[in-house]
Amino acid sequence: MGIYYTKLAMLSLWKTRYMSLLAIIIIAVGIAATMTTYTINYMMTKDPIPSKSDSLFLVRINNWSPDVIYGNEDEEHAPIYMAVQDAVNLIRHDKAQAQIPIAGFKDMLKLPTQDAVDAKMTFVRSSTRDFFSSFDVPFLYGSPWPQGSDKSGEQVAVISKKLNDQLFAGKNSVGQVVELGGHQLTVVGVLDDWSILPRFYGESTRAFKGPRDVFVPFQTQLNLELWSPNVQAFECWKEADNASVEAFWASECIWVYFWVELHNELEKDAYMDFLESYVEQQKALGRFQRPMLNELQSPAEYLKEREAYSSDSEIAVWLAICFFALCLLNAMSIIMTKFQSKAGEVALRRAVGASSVDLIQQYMIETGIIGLFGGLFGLLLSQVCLMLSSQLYTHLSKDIMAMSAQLMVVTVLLSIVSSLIFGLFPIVKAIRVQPATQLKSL
Amino acid sequence: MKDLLPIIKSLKSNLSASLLFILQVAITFTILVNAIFLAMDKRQSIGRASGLDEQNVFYIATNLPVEEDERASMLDQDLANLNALSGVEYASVSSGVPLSGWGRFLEVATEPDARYDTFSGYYGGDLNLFNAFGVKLVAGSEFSPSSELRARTDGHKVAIDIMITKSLAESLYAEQWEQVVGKTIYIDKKPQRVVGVIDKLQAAWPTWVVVEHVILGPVKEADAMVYYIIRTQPGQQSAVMESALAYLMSFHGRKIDKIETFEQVKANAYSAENAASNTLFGVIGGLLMVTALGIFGQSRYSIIKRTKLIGIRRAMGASKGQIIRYFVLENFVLCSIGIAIGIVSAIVLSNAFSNAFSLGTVPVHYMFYGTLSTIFLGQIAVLYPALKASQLSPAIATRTV
Amino acid sequence: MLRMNKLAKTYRTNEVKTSALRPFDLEVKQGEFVAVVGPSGSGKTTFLNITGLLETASEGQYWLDGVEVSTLGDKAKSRLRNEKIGFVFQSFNLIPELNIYDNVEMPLRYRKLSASQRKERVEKALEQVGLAKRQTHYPSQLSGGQQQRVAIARALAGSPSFLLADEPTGNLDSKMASGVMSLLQEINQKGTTIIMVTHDLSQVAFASRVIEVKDGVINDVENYAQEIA
Repeated sequence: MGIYYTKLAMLSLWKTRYMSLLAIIIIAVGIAATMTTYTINYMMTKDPIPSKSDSLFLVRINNWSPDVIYGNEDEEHAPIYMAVQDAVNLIRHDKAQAQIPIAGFKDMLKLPTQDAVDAKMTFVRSSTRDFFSSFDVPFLYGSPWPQGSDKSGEQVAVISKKLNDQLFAGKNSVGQVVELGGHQLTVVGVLDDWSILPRFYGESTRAFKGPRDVFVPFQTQLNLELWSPNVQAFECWKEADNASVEAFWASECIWVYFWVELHNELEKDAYMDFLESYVEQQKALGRFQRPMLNELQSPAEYLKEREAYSSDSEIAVWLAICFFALCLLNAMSIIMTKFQSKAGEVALRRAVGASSVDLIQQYMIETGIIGLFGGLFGLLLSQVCLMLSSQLYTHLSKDIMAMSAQLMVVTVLLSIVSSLIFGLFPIVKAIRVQPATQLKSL
Repeated sequence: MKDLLPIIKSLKSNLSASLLFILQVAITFTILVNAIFLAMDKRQSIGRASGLDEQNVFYIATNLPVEEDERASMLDQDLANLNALSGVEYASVSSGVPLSGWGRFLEVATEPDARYDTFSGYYGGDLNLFNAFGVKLVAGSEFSPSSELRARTDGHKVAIDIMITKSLAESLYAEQWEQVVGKTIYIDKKPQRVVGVIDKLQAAWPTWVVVEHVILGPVKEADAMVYYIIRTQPGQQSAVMESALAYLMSFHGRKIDKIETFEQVKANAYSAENAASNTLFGVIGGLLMVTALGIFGQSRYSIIKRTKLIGIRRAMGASKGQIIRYFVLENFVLCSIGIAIGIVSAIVLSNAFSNAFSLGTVPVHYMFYGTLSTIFLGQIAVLYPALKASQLSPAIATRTV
Repeated sequence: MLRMNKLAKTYRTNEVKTSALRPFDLEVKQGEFVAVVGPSGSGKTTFLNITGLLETASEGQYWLDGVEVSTLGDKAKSRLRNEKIGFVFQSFNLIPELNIYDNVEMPLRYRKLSASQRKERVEKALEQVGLAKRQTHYPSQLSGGQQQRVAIARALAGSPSFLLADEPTGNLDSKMASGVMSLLQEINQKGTTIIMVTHDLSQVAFASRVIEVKDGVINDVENYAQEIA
C-alpha cells in the first residue's frame, strides 16, 4: 500500500506543483531558521568535553587581602585564579590525577631562519603535559612533552596544525626549532585539528574563540620570565616587591587558572582534604588571612557563574521557533487549499470503498513527502545560513557553525513530523466531505 | 460599512481558514515587535557615542625597548617625536584604550570609610591625553601643567588630581553633579581631587553596566607595554599611521603589539551586537516575506473560491470599486483581529524574555508602529488579488462552474 | 439480495425537518435490471445514495446480501461498498492524473490482492468494455463514451453484487449513450444486478423492472411505458 500511496502522492504533488513547491519552500525557510539558530546555540552551550565533565575541576582557594572580600561581593567566593607560587606548590604536591595550570603570554614567533620582520605576534598557552591528556587533545605528529620538561622547564613547544601548516608547510616538524621572543624552542608535537567549545579552561570572555597555536610548559614560562601585561587578566591585592617579572612571579598577584582531574567522590574528598591542609600550612606561614573557602568547580558551573553564555543565541532560537510555527501555519493553509480541490477524489475513493483511515494514510504520505522535501531543502538552506553566520559572527569560533550528523537527521525528522502534524487538520477537513453531495456535482 | 456584516458572516462560514489567517497575523506581529525591539536595543548600544573623536583617533600598543630605568625618558622622547610628525594633532600615552576589552577598573566612594559607591574605568596619561582622545569638558577645568606625575605602573595609586565623566559624577551626586568639581573622592580608598568633568568617555568593556564611568588621571606610566593614542588632522590618519610606525620601528628591539584605528576598535567591540542585530534584521525580512506571501496566497485562493459569488455581485450591480473595497476591508478586519491577539502575545513573549534574559520590555510605541506596519503589509498583499477579483466578468454568474 | 424494510430518510437543518424519502419496503433480486425514474427533486438520488451506502437511512432496516447495514461503522461500510457495489456516475469521475489501468485498478487497491490478481481482474474488466488496448492512456485522451466505459470497467473490476448507475448517459450524446446502454445490458445478461437512475424514457426499455420515486414516495410501476402514455 505504501508504494501505491507514494505514487499517488507524487502524482498529486506534481499536479499541484506550484502550491506544493511553495509549501516546501516555506517549510524549508522555517526549518533553516530554527536549525541554524539551534545549532549555534547548541554548539555554544553544549558540554565541551562530555567524557570528562564529571572529573575536571577548577581549584579555587581564597587568596586575597585580609581587609576586603574578593570582588567586593556580598557573599564571599574564592577567586577564580591563583598566585604563581600556589600553582607551583599544588603541582609539586601532585595530589590529583592530573594538574593543569592555565597561564600564557604573547610574543613574536618566527623560524630561526626568518628575518625579524617576518615574526608574528603569537598567543602562547603555558600549562603542563596533563593539559593534552585531560582535555583529549589529538596529536598529528609527536606527543606531549615528557614529565621531565614540566619539572625542568625545558624549552619545548607543541604547535597547532594551523601553525605547522604555516611554518612547516604541514610536514612533520617534530625536532625542528621555532624562535619565540628570542628563545629557541624545540617542537615536540603537532596537534591535529582540535577545537573545544565552549573553551572553558581560561577566561570566560574568550570561551567561544579557538585555542591558541603554541603550547609550552608552565615552568618554561616561569624560568624564561615571559610575561605580557595585557594577555592574562591579573589582580593584585598586594604590590609586588619590585617591577621585575621575578618579583611578580613571587607576588600575591593572582592570575593562574588551575584545573585538576579527579575521577570519583573519593578522590574529590581526598583532594579537598589536601587543599585544606595546604591552606592551613600557608596560613601558618602568614598567608591566606581570609576565611577558608576552598572549592572544586566543574566546567559547567564555572561557565555559568562567569555568565559566559550570551542570551542572544537563546533568544534567537525562541524567535526562530515562533517563526517556524508561522511558516507551518502558512504551509497548513496552502495544504488546506490543495486538499480542498481534492473533494471529488475523496468522494470517489470513499464510494469505491476506501475507509477514512485509508484516505488519511494516503494523504499523510503526501504531507510527509512535503515535509521530507522541506526538510532536505531546509537542511541545505541551514548550511548556507551557517556559512553566512560564520562570516557574520567574527567574534565566534567557526567551529560553532557546524552541524553534526545527528542534528542533520533531527532537522529532516523535525520537518517531516511537524508537516504531518500540521497537515492532519487539512486532511481531516478534506475527508469530512459528504461523498454523496460531491459525486453528483462533479 | 454596509460590507461589514457580509464579511463577518463569511468569516463564520469559513472559520478554519479565517482562524488560520488571524493566527498567522498574530504570530507575525508578536515576532515582528519583539525582534525589532531587540535589534534596536543592539543598534542603540552600537550607536552610543564613545566621547572620542572617533574618525581621527588611532592607537599603537608597543614596548619601550630600553632598560627599565631609561623607560621614562624613552617615553618622553617617543611622545615628543610623535607630536612632531606632520598631520598629528595630539599624541599621547595612555594606560588603556576605550572599548578595547582590556583595561583597569577602580572602586569609587565619596566617603573615606565607605565600602564603595560605584565602579569606574581608568585611563592615565600625559596632559595631552584629554585632547588626544578629543573629549569635551563640561565643568571645572583641565589639568594644570604642574599636576602631571609619573609612575611605572598603576598610576591611579599616585594620582592627586583627576577628571571624571559626567555619568560618574551623576551617579555620585545625582542632580548636583557639577558640585563634584573641587571635591575629594576616594578612588580605591585613596583621596583624589576632581578638577574637571568630562562630557562623555567610555571604559574598556562595551557591555559593562557602567561603561560610561571613567576616571582620567594625569599620570604617565612607563611600563613594559605602552599605548600611544594619536589624534590626527582629518584625512591624515593613514599617512600618520605609516610615519608613526616608521619612526617607532627605527629603534632596535621595538615590538609593535597592535596598531588599530578607533573605528576598528569599536567595530570589534560591538561585533557580537552587530552580528546579532543583523541576524534579527534577517529574521524580520524573512518574516515579512513569508507573511506577505501567505496573505497573498490566501486572498487569492479565497477569491478564486468565491469567483461565482463575485460574478453574481457584479451582475447585480456592484462596481469594481465595491468589490475591491470588500476584499480590502475583509483583510483589514482579519488583520485587526490578528493584531489584537498579537499585542497580547507580544507582551507575554516580551515579559517572558525580560524575565528569562533580564532585558527591557517592549515599549508601547513599538506596538503602535507594529500595528501600522502589519496592517500596511496586509493591505499591500491583498491589493493584487482584490484587483484581479474586480476584473472578473459579471458573465461568470450565468455560467455553471 | 437487497431488501429494505420501512426505510425512510429525513433531513434536519435548523429545526426544519424535511422528509426526503417516506417509509418504503423494497426487494431487488439477483439478476434484475431496475430503472429508477422520477422528476428531479423527488428523492431519486437520496434513494441511490442510501442503496450505495453513501448515506445512512434515518429509520428502517436494509439488508445487503443478508447483512443488516444500518448499524455498521465506517470501516465495515467501506468494505461492503468495495466488495458488493460498483458505482457508475453521470460525470464518469475518473481521476485525471491516473491512467486507465490505474483508474480501473483503484477499487482493487483497497483489497488484499496480489499485483498479479489485480492485473488479471483489471484486464478482464477492460476487455469486457472493449478498451483493453487503452490501458496506458489517460482519461483526457478518451471520448466521453470511452470514459464512461472505463468507469463501468472500474465498477466491474471488483466483481460487485450489483451496479449502481446514476444517469450513466446523462453527459453523452445519443450515439455514445446507446453504446453504453447496450454494454450495461450485456453486463446484466451475464448476471450482474443493475440499479440505474435515469430520466431518459428510451432507456427504461432496457430495464426488467421500473421503480418510480415521486415526492419521496417509492412505488413499483408494473407497466411504465403504458402508464405514462
